[in-house]
Amino acid sequence: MNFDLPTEHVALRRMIREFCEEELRPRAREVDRTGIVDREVLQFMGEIGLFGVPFPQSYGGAGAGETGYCILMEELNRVCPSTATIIGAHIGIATMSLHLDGSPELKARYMPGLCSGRLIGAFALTEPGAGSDAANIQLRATLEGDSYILDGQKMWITNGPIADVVMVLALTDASLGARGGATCFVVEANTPGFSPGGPERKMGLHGSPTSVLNFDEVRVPRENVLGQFGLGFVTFMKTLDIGRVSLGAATLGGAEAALEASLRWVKARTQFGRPIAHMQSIQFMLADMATDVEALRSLVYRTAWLVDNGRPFVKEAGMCKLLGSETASRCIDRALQIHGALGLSRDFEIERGWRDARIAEIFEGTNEIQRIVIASELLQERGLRIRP
Amino acid sequence: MNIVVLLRAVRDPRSFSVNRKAQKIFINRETFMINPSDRNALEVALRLRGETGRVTAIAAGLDVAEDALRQALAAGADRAILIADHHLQHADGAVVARAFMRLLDHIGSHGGPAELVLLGAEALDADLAQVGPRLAAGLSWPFAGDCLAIEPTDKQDGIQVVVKQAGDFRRLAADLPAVLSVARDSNRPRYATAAGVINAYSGDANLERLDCAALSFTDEDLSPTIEARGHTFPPEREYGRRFDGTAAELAAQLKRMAASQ
Repeated sequence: MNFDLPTEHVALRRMIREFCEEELRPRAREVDRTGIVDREVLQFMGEIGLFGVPFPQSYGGAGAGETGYCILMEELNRVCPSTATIIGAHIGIATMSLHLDGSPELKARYMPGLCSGRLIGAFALTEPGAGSDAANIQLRATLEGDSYILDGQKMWITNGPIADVVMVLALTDASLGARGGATCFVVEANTPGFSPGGPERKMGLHGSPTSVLNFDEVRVPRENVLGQFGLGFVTFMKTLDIGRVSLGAATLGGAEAALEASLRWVKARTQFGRPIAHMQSIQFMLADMATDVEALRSLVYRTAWLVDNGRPFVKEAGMCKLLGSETASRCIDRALQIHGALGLSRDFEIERGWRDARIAEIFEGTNEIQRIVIASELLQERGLRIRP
Repeated sequence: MNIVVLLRAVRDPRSFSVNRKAQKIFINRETFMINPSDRNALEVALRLRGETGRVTAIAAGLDVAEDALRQALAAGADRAILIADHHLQHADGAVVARAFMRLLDHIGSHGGPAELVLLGAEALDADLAQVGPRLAAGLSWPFAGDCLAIEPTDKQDGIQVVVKQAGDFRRLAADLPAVLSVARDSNRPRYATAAGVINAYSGDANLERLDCAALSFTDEDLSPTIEARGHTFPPEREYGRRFDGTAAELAAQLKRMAASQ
């Protein structure tokens, strides 16, 4: 067994960490306070190749695989969860769906722009009536000449207001339902009839805009069908499967940040005549946080290894998301307890971390859905097929 | 322009702690980085390179020196050459300068001579500032230290620099080839690209390894000119004093202080 990351990934982490500390950290608080997306920093991230980390160099990516992508998400989320979420939606699901199932022509058209950050991507599945019940989508696509006309609404779409390209799942045959009757389309945001709503006012991730997407007779050329006609739901589910690994990596970064902040604080804060690091009650919390973080790190990077080596990973990916989001929430909550009243202060990073962490138990498949995914994989390995 | 940049790997200052009372340095992690002003030198080289030029990064030592070279490749250097020898990892300035002189000879006969050699003006660790001047003297090339700005002159084969000397900024010009040391923070070193990093660490990265034998560098050449007889901590730096008050009061306080000295 070899638990060392390959040297190129160690070097990649060093470069990304330097970027995060030098460029992102000074902006993170303002981004949260104002909710304004820092386009300048996104453009710079594109220039240094952070928008295409996992994808092949032939399409303008870095060729760093799932492992490299997990490193990116871990490092970004340590410092600025809002920026991490923009990148996560862009790479982890939007561009990933194109990478997984797009035709060579479609990839040649969009991958270079997406990998360089010239185009920002979004992934549109959720609808007012289709959250955990993703198969209940209603957005229609009807053939008219050489184009499909898309009508309907998507909801809670990360990057919705800033996306240039949106991967949209639409019903092409309502009688078949989502499984077999849904197709994935690449929709350009400047297409007439497409209009994103304003950013939602959320508890956390203020710098990551989320919105409704309205489709009012949006004409999409036939060439923009992503993957096989009628099998869009499969593409979307496959994409979400792999996205859970990097989501786990992001939560790992959040949990680490909480632990690091706590370790700094317990040495600095004095009560009863000595630093609170000497209190066993504090030590127990630190030990639990560090144990949680270490367990999560092992799971995340082993799962990334499974992905990069072509092994089955769906069960482990669900576990990454499940363990990761709960670990991050637990760690930031303990960090808040350790920081006392200061942890509640808006002038301190703990309060922001606490608000930013909670969503990970909900988005990209709630943790209840993750448990169903994990259980159905477990049972399927033993010959019992669970129908969702 | 054909530019050679000398790189040195130094311990990351965040990886050790200094206990003055115990007169000890505790190494917490084995992490190294490119000496900061060497990164400024590399940045100058990449900006001066031009369409037809080439930037070659060179270093001496083992793993950590090789890592510094790969980082340079990731940032955009065209070629990297390592003198792989463990004696050179901690050798003194004279030995290192001799080794690099041999390597420059080798580069001259394999792919065209260097027109400009750049290195950082200060090293985070030893900071003897000897390698640059010794190298220039050995080659009989001009040397300028602690350069803040470096640009080609109008006439070909010339270089002009801005240096800080005795509280003034001075503009100096030299004929090429020359050796220049670049001041820390005199520019903002670029980030490597993610793809650049992956490629610099892959098997087909443009990194050559030479050993001392390949450069006809003998044991005698390796013999140190400096002998370490012990280590002491530098004297503790005195804190400055803080004055408060209006401009007139501050001036009066300064005047009193100057008079009492």
